[in-house]
Amino acid sequence: MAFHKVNVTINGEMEQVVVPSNMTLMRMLREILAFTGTKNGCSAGECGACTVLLNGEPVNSCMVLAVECDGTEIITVEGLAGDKQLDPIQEAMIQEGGVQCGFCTPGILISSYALLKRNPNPSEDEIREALVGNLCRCTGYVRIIESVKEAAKRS
Amino acid sequence: MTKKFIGKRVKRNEDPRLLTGQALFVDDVEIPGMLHAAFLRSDYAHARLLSIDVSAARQRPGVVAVFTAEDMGEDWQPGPPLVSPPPTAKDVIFHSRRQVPLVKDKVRHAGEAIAVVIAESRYIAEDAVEDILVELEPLEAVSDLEKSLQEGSTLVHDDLESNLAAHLIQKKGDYEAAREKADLVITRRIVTDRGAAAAMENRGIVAHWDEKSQHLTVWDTTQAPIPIRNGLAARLGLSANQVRVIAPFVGGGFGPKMMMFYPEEMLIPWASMKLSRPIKWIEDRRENFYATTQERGQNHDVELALSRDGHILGLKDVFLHDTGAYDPYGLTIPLNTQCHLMGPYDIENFTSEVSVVFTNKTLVTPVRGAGRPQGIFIIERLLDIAAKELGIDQVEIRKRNLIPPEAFPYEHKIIDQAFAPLVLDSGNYWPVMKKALDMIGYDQFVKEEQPRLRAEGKYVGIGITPFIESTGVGPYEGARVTVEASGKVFVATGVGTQGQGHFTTFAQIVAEQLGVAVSDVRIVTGDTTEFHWGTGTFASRGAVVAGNAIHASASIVRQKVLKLACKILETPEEELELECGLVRVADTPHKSISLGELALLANPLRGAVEPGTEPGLEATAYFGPQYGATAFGTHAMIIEIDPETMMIAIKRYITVEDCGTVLNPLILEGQIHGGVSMGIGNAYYEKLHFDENGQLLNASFADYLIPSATEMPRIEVGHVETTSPLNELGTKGVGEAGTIPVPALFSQAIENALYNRELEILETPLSPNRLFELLVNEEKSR
Amino acid sequence: MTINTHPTLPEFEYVRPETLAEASEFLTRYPGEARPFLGGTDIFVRMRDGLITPNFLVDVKKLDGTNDLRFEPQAGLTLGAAVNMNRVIASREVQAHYPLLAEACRSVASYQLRTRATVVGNICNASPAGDTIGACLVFNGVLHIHEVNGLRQEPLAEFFLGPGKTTLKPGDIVTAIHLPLPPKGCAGVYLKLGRNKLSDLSLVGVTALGHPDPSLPSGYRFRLALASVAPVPLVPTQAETYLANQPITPETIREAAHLAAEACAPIDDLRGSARYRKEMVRNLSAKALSEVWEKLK
Repeated sequence: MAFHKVNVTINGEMEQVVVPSNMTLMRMLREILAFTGTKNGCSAGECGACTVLLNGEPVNSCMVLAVECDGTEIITVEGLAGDKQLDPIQEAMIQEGGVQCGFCTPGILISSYALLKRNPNPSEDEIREALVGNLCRCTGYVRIIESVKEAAKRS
Repeated sequence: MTKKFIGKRVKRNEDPRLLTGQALFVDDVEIPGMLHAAFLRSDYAHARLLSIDVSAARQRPGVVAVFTAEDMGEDWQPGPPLVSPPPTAKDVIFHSRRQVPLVKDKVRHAGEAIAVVIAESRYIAEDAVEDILVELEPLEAVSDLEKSLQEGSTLVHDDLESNLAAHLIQKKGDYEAAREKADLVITRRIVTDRGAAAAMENRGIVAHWDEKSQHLTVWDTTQAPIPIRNGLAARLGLSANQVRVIAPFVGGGFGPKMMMFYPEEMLIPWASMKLSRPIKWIEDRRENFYATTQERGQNHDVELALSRDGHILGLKDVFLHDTGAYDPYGLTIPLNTQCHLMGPYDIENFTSEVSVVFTNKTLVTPVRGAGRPQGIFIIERLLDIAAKELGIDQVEIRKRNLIPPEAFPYEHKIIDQAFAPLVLDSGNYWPVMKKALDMIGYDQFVKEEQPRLRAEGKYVGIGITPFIESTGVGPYEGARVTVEASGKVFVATGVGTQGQGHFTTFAQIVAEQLGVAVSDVRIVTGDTTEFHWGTGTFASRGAVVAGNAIHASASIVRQKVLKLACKILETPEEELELECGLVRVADTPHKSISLGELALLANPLRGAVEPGTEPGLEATAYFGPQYGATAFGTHAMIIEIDPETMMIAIKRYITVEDCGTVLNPLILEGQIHGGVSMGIGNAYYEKLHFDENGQLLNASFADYLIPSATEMPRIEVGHVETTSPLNELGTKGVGEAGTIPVPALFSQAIENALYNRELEILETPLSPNRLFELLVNEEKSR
Repeated sequence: MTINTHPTLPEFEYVRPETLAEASEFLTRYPGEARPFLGGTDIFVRMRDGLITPNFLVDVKKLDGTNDLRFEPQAGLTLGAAVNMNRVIASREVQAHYPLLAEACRSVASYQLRTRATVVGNICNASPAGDTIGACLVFNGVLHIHEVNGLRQEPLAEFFLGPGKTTLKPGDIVTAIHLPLPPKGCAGVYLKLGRNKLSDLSLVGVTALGHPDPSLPSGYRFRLALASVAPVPLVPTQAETYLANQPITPETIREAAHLAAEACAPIDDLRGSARYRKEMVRNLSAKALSEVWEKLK
């Protein structure tokens, strides 16, 4: 199996990695670059725990090949916060109690962050729709939705 | 005394790490030289293993080892019995058949592991699994509960005479006599079916045997790290001190991660010792559907005897409980069912007979709710039917039967999972139910809104379901609380944590005693190096049992602090207060000393101490309740059904919980929201479909739907606090409460919405499709 | 006999040709071994489940024109194969001229999956459940297919042969779908029924499009396409013909819905019973046609 050289910008830092054809973006992030905040929940594009931003748009990183990411920009959960300052969506999740076990949280954060970028004042229905690809078994989504509303107010 | 920290909406200590990708989960563990495992699993539910040839797999480059049952030799042992039947119960039949590490003679459920490949990467391990040549002779599978006990049924375990795994009768009063006196006897067959816990994190284990230090470190997605440590040490011939089990951040438990000694949990550490290499195995989602334990399959033949005025005279229930291919968890689930069959009602005469059956399906162990939802489903369905037949309002019939407040502690008399006849410790049920009725505006809805909406052609229905939850069972938990020289407090306890907010609620308990900021209390859960004794996080017991152990330890530390400060500040203890990390004199607050300074003084480097002095400001204490605390709650819901598709929209959802002292409403409500979400899944979206061959047909999130953000309603939560007399904090558990009444509530609300149909729902889970089928059948039978 | 899954992904070679000709040539050289690859939303799942084991995935996303979303006022919409569904949804031109297509795209899975999923990919999978296929059918979509010998165009209506089966031959690459200009004054609706509110695959999907047509006795032409109720995406022509010839009333709409239900042959599976599906075709077709009729009146 062939290996491919891939240049990517991850959370603002340039990285060069060599990946086999069958390596997904999720596994490249977790296994080569140690960005383990991105979680593997189903490897089928269903649960959304591995959601990252690829050129500004959320994708299930388990459904993207690493080799396809040559020349792209990627943001993971590790890249949401500034040096000392959490992103408003992270702050809001603390305030509203949007986290329980935290396994789905990275994906939820990325999806919410992307939603607020494209729609700074989403309605409750729009929030629910934007999160439909991020499964959570702990919270019943109640406080996650409140968190997104709160983040919209803050940003 | 007013509380400063307990009961407050405190933000969670653990959130910043979880929100920035810095929290360690098992799959995040990376060790140099680590190998990766993948399992060969049977697709047949029942098959004889004729032959297995792993030679090609062993030859694949990058494969380090392949193990079969044969290769394990003497080390091949079934898992340990986890829960024996209650010694207090009479005439119990119990055949203990435990899961095996790898299939030796025959496969007993689809997904059972036959061989494990250990390789340099997961990719190679998966490829090598395909190299294994295995010959399986498919056998007829036992799938249906009823058929499993029929004469001539195929046997799951050939050495047994039948598929009966266990049998138990529990009684109180005289049901037959009560039945004689009854004006109405309702007889029904009610069926509940299986679902998955579906934690977002699949199971996983990393085992690292270090040959040089002769030490085994295991990271495990378990709810019970200490028993895992003990069991591993025993099985692997090690001292407990040679084994460290860490349950780091765990991505949701919900019961199945409490199962002890999944085959992989034993095999991976065993293989690490064989190979002297660290090994990681991470379950994939499909494996999770096949090989992680499940729950809820029961068939009930039940009778409810009532008087004309709606008083319950007696209840009789004969039921089958599906335990799957093995029964390591003993009778825990059916005991819970038996204890919840009477719900919150005062019933004098009760007979319950359970037959636990083996089937060729995935193992059954508790899943959030653990037998309780079934019990509540049965009694609530029967009461709804009784209300209709007797012409009594659904709320009124319940009100008439609730256990009255003066009856507590209430002798329930049925043996529960704590092995003792259940006593309901405290309660005041009607005010809770009343609050739920008020919050949802029951009277106004039934009298005004519903008739108006019905006139508009809408199918709107209301449901109101009270329930009990036995929680906080023993035997015990412990904790060590230490004031450090920094002035911060360190707490170690043995339970694991899977999202319950322990790092915060436990810190609040400590802060209450020691007057430090909640953020200055660092908690470690689930690391056997930090605390030696304990059982685990299950049965809605973390906050109750570990919480009270922490409270007890912190109270002792408080005494030590006061004793020492009294000397140093030359002030009587009664005049001292612990505030803001200081001990200070109440009326002269500038006269103070910090906890950190005290901690230093309590651990002198030179000089002499008084005889009997223990160093440091530290204490270890344990808490074991006499019996479990029983919580109460009521859920209410208004739904609208689309009569064309049978899709349901939840218009309002109310819960009122009485779980004793509330530690942190933010966290408590989160637990309830999550429980309700799982309940909604159980009631209307989730069902594991096994065919007659024991094949699981929907082993993915595409085919098995758990509620997503668009299914979940807003949830309005009300609280009532009736403290438990069984522990100092007065707490009761709540972890499973949200899940328990939901299927019963759905059925009630659906029947209420479809008021012009003669629909009687006697099964759960439902789905739009299944509801449609029930209505077609109802139409035919008219 | 055993469960053969590859949650990582089985081995294959990733191939990214520079030109369509090169891609077609490669695909022709390895028939059965090489597959064109767009968003991967379907192919990866099937590879992980061990259902397919391609040796080569040929990435066609960056080839000539596959990334274009082009609307020409005289000709209509051309959607390149690599244009993801979120782009379709966000396109002002799609919203203005083919809102039905945007609506159908919005019903697919989740936002993050739609960043990868494409309309052409949805079509090429030839799943009867494909949500966007109905819209493309009722707009009389035409596929642009690159083959070894050049380009050909194929009406979508003739493309599907069975579940997962199409007229594509080894070496064929669908580069785009072209939708002619929408009929004047048209209105459309896509009603999707899954087991939950959103995100599920369709148990039943009903696409309806209507527009004035003075040449017909009823004065209106209605188009219908049904998802998940037959081996291929189904156009119930009997229902369409009926409404062309009858005055449009609640009764004739109900009759047309009945004809639509009669035209389909759903199966029982764990996701839904045939009986339920058929009844839902009846209910949802009636609802979809009524909603379209409301917009047309």
